[in-house]
Amino acid sequence: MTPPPMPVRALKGVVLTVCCALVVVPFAGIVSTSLATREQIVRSGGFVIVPDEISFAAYRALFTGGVVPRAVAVSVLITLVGTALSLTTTTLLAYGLSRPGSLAHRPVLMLVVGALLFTPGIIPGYLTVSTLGLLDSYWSVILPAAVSAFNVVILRAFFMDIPAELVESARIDGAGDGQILTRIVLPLSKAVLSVIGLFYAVGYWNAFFTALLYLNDAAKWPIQLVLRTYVVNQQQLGVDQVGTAELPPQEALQMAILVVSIVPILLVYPFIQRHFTKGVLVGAVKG
Amino acid sequence: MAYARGGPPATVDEPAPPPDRPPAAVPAPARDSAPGRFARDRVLLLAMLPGLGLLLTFHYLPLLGNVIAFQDFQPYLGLGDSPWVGFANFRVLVEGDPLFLRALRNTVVIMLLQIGVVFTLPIALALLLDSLLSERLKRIVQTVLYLPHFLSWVIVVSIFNELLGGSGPVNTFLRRHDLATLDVIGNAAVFKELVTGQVLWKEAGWAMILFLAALSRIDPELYEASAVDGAGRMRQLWHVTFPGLRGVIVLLLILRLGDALTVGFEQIILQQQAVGLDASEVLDTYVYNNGIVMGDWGVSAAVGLVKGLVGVALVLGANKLAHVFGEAGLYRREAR
Amino acid sequence: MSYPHASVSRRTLLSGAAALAGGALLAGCGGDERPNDNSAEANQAVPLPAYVPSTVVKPDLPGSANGLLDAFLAYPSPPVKQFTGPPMSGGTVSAFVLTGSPVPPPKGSNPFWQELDRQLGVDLQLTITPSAEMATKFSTLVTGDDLPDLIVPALFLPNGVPAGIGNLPQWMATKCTDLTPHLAGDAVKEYPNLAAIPTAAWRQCVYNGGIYGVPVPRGVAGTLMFRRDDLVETLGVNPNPASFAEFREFCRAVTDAKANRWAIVNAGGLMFLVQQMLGGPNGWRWDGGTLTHQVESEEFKAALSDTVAMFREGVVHPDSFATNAPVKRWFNAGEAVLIADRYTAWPQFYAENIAGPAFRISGMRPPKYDGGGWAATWQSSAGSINNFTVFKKAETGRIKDLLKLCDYLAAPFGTAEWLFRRYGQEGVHYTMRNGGPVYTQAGVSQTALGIRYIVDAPDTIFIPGLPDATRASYQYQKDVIDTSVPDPVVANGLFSDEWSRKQPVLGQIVLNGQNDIIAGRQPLSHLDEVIRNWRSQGGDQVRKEFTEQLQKLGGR
Repeated sequence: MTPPPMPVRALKGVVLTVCCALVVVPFAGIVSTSLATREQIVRSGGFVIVPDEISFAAYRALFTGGVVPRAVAVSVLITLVGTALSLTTTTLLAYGLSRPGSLAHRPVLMLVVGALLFTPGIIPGYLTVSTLGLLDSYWSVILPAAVSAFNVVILRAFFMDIPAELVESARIDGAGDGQILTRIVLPLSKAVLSVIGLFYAVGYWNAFFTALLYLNDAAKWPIQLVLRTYVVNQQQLGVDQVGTAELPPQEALQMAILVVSIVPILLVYPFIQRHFTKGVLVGAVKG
Repeated sequence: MAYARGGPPATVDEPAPPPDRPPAAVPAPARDSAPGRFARDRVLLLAMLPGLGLLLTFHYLPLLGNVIAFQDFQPYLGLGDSPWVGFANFRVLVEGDPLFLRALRNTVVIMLLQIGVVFTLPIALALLLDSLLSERLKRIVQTVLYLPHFLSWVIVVSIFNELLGGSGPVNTFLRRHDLATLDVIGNAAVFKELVTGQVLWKEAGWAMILFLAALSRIDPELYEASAVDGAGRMRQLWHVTFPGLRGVIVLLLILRLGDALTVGFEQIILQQQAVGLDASEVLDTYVYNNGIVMGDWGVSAAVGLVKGLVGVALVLGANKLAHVFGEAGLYRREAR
Repeated sequence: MSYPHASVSRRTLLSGAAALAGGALLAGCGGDERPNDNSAEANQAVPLPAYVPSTVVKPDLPGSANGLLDAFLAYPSPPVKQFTGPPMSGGTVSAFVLTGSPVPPPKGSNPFWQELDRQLGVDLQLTITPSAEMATKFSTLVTGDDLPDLIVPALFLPNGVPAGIGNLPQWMATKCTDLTPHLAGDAVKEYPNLAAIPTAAWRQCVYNGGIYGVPVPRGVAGTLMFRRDDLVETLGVNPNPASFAEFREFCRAVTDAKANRWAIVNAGGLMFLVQQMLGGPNGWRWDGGTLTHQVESEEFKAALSDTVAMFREGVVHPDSFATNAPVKRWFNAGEAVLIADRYTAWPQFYAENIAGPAFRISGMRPPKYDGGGWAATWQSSAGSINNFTVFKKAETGRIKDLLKLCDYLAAPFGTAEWLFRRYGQEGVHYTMRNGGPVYTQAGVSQTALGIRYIVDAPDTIFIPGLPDATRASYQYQKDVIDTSVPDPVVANGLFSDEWSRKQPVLGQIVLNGQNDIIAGRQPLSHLDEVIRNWRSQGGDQVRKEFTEQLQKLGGR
């Protein structure tokens, strides 16, 4: 296959560069602001793109005192356990729903789709968790979010898309539903499983609201909730802290904690990425 | 000639299935009776149990609390003792209260903008990325583009305000050079476009991921075969790529419609004060401003129910439409 | 396109917040059907605690009975030790508090908290909630029956609007202790620091015909117009305009858009100042027979018209309408020369400014509109408190113990107890600089426990390390306090169920209408429609309720 003509390639390059710049510039600003001095932050209106002087005061402030490292650890725990649980239950549920005509297929599918369309209120959710005795336990953050109807539907669609001949021939060889799952469906679904796993992982990593509601003990708070106490409270911040001229400026702290909350996902993503670009690697060269 | 979609990765050497075949159907069962089907399907049923259990406990059980839509709900009386008012809480929909209609209008406009722009551009982005030669470049660009997804709306709105606001670097520069300033933030006339732009910035890279996953499943041999047949880039796009993506696109579109009347709450309420209610009031903020804030609990639950029902109608309708076009859609009646 | 991950979004929060608060208070009130009497008659009849000003510490600049706060130029050294031993002897006390700061380290890694336990003589358990999420968390708290001993009720919604607390009195009647027998009249003298809290603050804790909470007092001086004296001086402009016309000139003179400098951070500040110039009502106006709300007054309309004109001249910061606009930072950066804020922000401006030692601020008094003197300023619309704290139902001995604890927590400014409570241990959590404590990093993070919102000593004017700034703040309050005007509804301690429920939405109606008109989206005549809406959506009903009460009081 011949590579595309120059003008097309150039156009593609321009479009991609612009798109990336639109993202890179603000993010560079986030990192820069986390490293900037109070003077520069106030002078440049709160958002610094290129710092004149680098100061790690904000990061130092975050990491002494133990709140942030602990919160990161909590988030990692919740994310790992939650993602494992979610992937397992969602895969099983999606697989169970991927053979149309099976017993109870329609009702269960309706239940799943219904969960997409109607959302329960906060307090009934709170009462449910509280009655189950899950308050102040990490399970209160994991279990309610364990099954996402959206992810079930997506996974089911990908499962149903697996060519019938493969399943047929396996059945002819005497394989039951369980073996079809493990021998055929799962191996062929690595890409979408990675993606769904990523969706869940990010969902758990970003969870702050369920933590706010169900975790009374601030020692158990995940990083996103801690982040909110730095960012959303910005108007009230300061009234409590008289005489704090020596300390890192608010904006730098906010940006620093933002960076801290994003970095772990950034580290994980490349490993996931491999799985859904692999299919393209094999085979023809495309322009 | 159309090339089939969803071929297996190169680990299994199989000829591509004939074109235009409906999605995977498994051979007819041996027995039709219920106990027979139970025995046949017990593994499947077992598999569904844990997920279903979680859904029922943590989603459907609390959903029962939405019954307050039919009550004049007073906190200190509670569910048990609050008076039942039937459909009175739904009056706001029937009476055509102009403020409610305004919220509905804004919601629909923004929803159309979002489906038109925010839904489609990630597809284009995915195609663009997919066609890159270098794997490395592809990964880097992917990683960069999805970064904004991790920011909360508080931060995103703040970034937009800082950079594009009246005293931000862009406008300061323009003002110093006596050029016209950019009136984007706080401008009611372009609010809907601004909101769409923000969603695009935040979510396009992320939305792209699912499409990339779908693209990765297209059998490279299909591209080869089409090249052999003399197809150029555009024809390949049309005959190989799009069929491969169609299923995912339709599915995601249907799911999006299920959520149709939700166009973003936190993002909008953070900016409502800057542009006034005329431009920015949508259903969710209307419910907040007139329900929660006033203590009109029943009304907000009622609107939530209606939104759900509208979602149901849209999903069912879109699904039927998808069937007409030969797509599986969300589900279809099929024998096992 | 969003990918819902079954995590609860703010949307579901808010659609359920109603059900939440509702069901919450229901579940909390289960069974007990005793009707509560939260009428004005019942509340007026409540005997308030006696007022015995503290003599433990003598202020450098004395306050007055009119609401002028005591001022201190330096923290008394050595600080007075008021208590000889811890107020409690063992056991656990749990409290639900809010914080305006990042969450502190848990007790296990928090030496300040551990030392606090020792000084209090108790194991203090705290559920700390970020103030922005208070309304949500409070609602879930009252759902369950497992209440902590001390609870700070949520008074505001996340976006700063007062929460509709219409059902709070009912909940308090069922679940909280009536403190009247412990605190009314001379009974409060058993707790000298609580007796030192001004009566006006106690009045705001009266519900259901009894005293239901202990207050966190604030000065009534409330909001003032801060002015960057250093910038104004450099620009050579007269800092004290003597009439509206001169004020308008002032704003024009200091504005230079190309230099990124505007006169004032937002149009709301203009409305605030101009209405005072015109003698407009502070919230409500009672003339003995009719009660008029601010939005209905002639002065409001005139001020609005002036504000629109000034906005068009470009003297207001261009990004002022954004929610959570960083107005304090603009003021500090010199992007604006005027900002309306509470007097409590004085130290914060000094702490965060970057202009160095040249930085100087003071308050701009509103002149009479047509000149000829100073106009009366408005007292704080929050009255004399920041919030109050309720006690869950418990037996008498326990309540007495908790009150002793509160007595300790309300130790006045100038004592060792106050200094420790706020700043921690010297050397570890703060250092003394020029007579004022300055936090260390450990101090900032460890001391942010939120206990200052349980109860506090009367507020004082103190800008650490900057006696001149303290003098300026004191002088400003001294100048304005005697002529300042209170909100008659607040001053008389009136309570209306309708007002509690409707205040947020009525406030939004006015604010939205005002913003639309100022931003040019609507003409000035739109104000008539705003007033109509305000009246029909509850304003008239509220007026009726308040008028009845005021007539009964005979316009006290």
